[in-house]
Amino acid sequence: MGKSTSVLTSIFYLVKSSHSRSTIIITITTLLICITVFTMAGQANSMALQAYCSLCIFDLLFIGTALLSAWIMENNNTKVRQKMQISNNIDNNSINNSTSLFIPTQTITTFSYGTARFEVLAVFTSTMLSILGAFFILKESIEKYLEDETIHTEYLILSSILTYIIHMIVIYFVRNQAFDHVIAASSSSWLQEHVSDMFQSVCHYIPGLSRLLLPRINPLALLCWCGLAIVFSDSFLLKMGYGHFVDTLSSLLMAFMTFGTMVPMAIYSGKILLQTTPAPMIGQLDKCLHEASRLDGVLEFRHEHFWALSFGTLVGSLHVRCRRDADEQLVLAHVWNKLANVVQILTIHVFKDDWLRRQTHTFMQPQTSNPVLSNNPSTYNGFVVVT
Amino acid sequence: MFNPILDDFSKTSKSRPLSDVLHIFILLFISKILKIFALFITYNLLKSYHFMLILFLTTLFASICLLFIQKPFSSIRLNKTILFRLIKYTICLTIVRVLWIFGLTLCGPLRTILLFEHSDLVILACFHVLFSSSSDIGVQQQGQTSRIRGAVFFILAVLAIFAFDNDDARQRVLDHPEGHSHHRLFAHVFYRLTSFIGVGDHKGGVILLLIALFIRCAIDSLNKKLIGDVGGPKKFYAITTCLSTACLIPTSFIMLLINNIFPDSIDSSSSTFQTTLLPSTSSSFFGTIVSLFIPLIIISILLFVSDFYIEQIAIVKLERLRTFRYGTFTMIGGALIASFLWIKSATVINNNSIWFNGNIGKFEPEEHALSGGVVFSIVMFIFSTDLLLSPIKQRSGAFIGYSQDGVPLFNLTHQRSQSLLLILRSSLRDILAETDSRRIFYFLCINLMFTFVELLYGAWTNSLGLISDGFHMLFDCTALVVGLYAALMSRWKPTRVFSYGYSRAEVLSGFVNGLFLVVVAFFVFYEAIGRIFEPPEINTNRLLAVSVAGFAVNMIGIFSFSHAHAHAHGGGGGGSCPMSQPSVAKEQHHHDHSHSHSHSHSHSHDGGHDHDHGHSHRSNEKSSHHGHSHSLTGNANMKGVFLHVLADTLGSVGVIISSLLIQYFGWYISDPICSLFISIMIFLSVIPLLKDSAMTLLLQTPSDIQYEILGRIIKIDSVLSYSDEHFWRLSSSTIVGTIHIQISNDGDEQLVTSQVQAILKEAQMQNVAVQVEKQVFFNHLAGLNSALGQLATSERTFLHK
Repeated sequence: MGKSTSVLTSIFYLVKSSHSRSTIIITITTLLICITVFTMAGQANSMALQAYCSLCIFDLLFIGTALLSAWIMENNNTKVRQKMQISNNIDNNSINNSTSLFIPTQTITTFSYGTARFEVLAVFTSTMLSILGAFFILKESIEKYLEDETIHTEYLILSSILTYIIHMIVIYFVRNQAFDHVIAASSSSWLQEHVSDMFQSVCHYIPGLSRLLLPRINPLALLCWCGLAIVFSDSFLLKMGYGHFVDTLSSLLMAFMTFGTMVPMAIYSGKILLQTTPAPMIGQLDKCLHEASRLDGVLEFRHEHFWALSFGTLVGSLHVRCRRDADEQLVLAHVWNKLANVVQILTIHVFKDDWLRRQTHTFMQPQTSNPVLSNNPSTYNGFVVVT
Repeated sequence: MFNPILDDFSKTSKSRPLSDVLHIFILLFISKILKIFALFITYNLLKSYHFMLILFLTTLFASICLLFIQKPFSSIRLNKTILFRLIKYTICLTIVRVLWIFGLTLCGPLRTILLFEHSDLVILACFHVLFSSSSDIGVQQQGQTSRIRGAVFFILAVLAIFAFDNDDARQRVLDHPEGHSHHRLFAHVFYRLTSFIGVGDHKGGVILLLIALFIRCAIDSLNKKLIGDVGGPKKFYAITTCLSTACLIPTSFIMLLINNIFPDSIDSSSSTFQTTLLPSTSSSFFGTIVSLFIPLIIISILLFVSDFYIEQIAIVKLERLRTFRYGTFTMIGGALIASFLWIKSATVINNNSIWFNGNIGKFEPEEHALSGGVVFSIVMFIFSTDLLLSPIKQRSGAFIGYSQDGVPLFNLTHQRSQSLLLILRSSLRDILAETDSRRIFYFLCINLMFTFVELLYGAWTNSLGLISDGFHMLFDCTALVVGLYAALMSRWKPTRVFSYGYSRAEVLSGFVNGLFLVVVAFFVFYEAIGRIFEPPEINTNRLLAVSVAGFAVNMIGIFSFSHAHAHAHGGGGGGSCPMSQPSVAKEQHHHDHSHSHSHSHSHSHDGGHDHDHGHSHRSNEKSSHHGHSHSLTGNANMKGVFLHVLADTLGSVGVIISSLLIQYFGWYISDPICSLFISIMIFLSVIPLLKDSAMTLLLQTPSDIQYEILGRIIKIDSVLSYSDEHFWRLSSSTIVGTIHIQISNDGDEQLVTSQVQAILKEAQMQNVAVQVEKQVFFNHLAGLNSALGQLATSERTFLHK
């Protein structure tokens, strides 16, 4: 309960702070429009409209992510401020505070890496929810097609325009670092690819448009534009009397477009959640590791784990086997020096073979049940090797 | 099969300047225009004569012409195999032509041109885009997007002609196609066939034309070698035309006989049509000659002779791609204009005929008019032809390096994918290797079987409720598929990018399944809210039986998955040792938990304890040396699948209850209320799963890591402090830990490391990295002028000692 109240207070803080007031207003309008639009979609009985209106729900998630990343920023700032205060205390008063810092029961926090990962999870959740929503709409529209109900076209234009406006406002006026990063970093969706390809050939004929058309388009805005076009043509065709087949077709198209837009982002954030090395970092890391492996005293690297904590933060751990006569601290310092520029949070485990007695390292004894370490060298052997 | 077209596309032949080949262009253009003209005349003729007869006579004239021009049989040595293949090809060609001309009678010339006059290259490129492996896409990224677009445009265009071209006037007449008695037999059979499929006659024509197009492409691309064997395309063409004439002889004679048996009907029909369109007709022999044979000769020369020769010349002088491109464009554009003119003239004639004779005007079937769908499809066809026939700019080979002579080397071998059967077999073996995935797989099979039975039965009895319920089941199966895939994936070996292995995929899939259920709950809630105000009338006839069957299937799932709980429990509980002393209580709790799972959803209340299970189990497992611990229920993936099945079961229970209420009491409102409850239940039951998996994904420090560990670490000899301690759960069974230890200058690093490792191992951490730092380390770093970063805090230990 304590945690939830603290979350509540931080939300309250967000409401109070001036920079997020516009966000609050936008949130409330989005909620209202979401409700109205969904009632309209329910009245109109059109799956295409429902598919388009699910953008509104995505907008809510988008705003949630924005608030979360703002909260994380705020958190980090306060943490830095606290740290600054502590170091000031130390510097000014020369009080030995270090012991108080390292009281075990206080330092072990629930999230040892901080809250940076929340952003990633938020992005993943919102993209995944809209993918699943699109999937659900896919199924619903097939069912609707079988049921063969009449569609009221009078709501289509109004509610789609409402959705369009609110979506554009949310995308361009709510600052959202997490999504900005993901949009910039993830691979482009098929919709983007095709549109850019088409624009390229248009610019081939009319070069004047190149400044307007050639830069990468925001995929969410693109989704909104295309969806609007689809809903408009849908309503036009429905008025022409082409029947509900058109509606099903356009809702399928909308769902596929949503898939296409969201999947690259979900993959990007999901890969971070799966503890992977980001692809662009691999080359740089390899170079650093190669340099480090040729240092004096280093024999080999094992268990290299490098993974992205959040957008742009790399965490790594590495086991270094060094020569028996090498100075461990020197090796550690050199390896650290090579890797610290790339990897922000790093742990280097230096170990030596046969540091007590000469033994083969395939010999292992699982003596974990003994909590107190004896000085029997064979006990250590297992640990040294397994690391 | 696709390699030749790739060669065609990537061939970098020098395109000649336009002025050199302008006459060829003009020739091509003229021949195509004439071809369109011929097609329109043919269509007109087809109104009055049987299409078999027309086809036979045109091919006869064409083969006579070709015999004179080409003299194909003068110098040829045909061995048996070539002859056999030629005959095979000829039969296919004849079928294509019959289909084509029958499609022409049904669809009219404009649509025939739109559908049939595509080069093989377009169709093959289409297929290549749709069915090629993804490895190719990686190689030709740039060309591929426009290709995909072209293929999609092509499909859209066909779809537009098929579905959105409401040829209403035509449809009305063709409700009784037997009225066209001159091709009574064919039309009748065909009419039966199309009405069986459930499409209109005009749409049937579209299908016929498409089939003809595909067959033509297939035989042309498969018989490229045969052309070379026979001796050039012209000779080949002449021979096949002659042979197909021979093929057509028997059928056309049969047709003639049938028509002679019913001469009056053909006369009446032909007279009705010919009075309006071919005023020169009469029953006299001379009239027949004039009205039939002169147009026929023109047609056969234009359609089968001149067009072919000019195209061959153009292929040689221009490129293949350009020829086909401009040829198709000309055909489509010309057809559009011609059909405009034709409709104009037809209406003029029609008006005249009404003016002269009102009766005939009534029976005149309206020409195939232009509709929005046709115009749309014309635009789409032009786009797709343009996109699919534009040459690929990139080379298909990957640049490797230079040879010893300094010549660049390209890797042209595409990575061939394995055969589908092999992949299936190996993945099946993987699935059956472990309990989790096996269980999911079996349940998936049961579910799918039930779904298909339901769908088939629904289609058989024509019940929409059943079919839509089947779709719903299919939708539910995807959750199982996700779970299955994750269970498979978690066993893959670690790679460079996935350095910890794939076991995290299970957690992620559990999370995704949880989200899935949230979406389902949301939509059910939304639907229920909509219905609570106006409860719809529900027909409960078959609903009860279906939902009981669904309930039974889901109960199988629940039992099999809760059996998994019990099994794991038994396996884990066997070992007893001093270490697992604290976990006995948890064990007990776990038992309760699984118990509650199998009976109701009430376990949502004790969600807080959920994530201890993996640990408690694993501790038992480890201490009793049972081997590896994947098949345990702490697994978020299995939990997600289980919850999904549970939600389904709840759904069917709800349906049973509400349908009973409706049946016996007529409470229509019970349905939305039930779904409201169900959605809330689903949502509540999914929260613990979501929370657990989210916490794992967020790298929360496991709550069972006692602070005492850190206390013990700091009590080790010569340890001054520690920093950067990170402990997190990789998956349900693995905990990863990293820590920095600061020791005094006289301490031994390896000793401290091993001691710390021992302590961490005791806390069930498999993946440990310990960094031991001394004062010297920071001195070295200062000497190297290195960034401190996170080390600022640990350095402070030494600064303020």
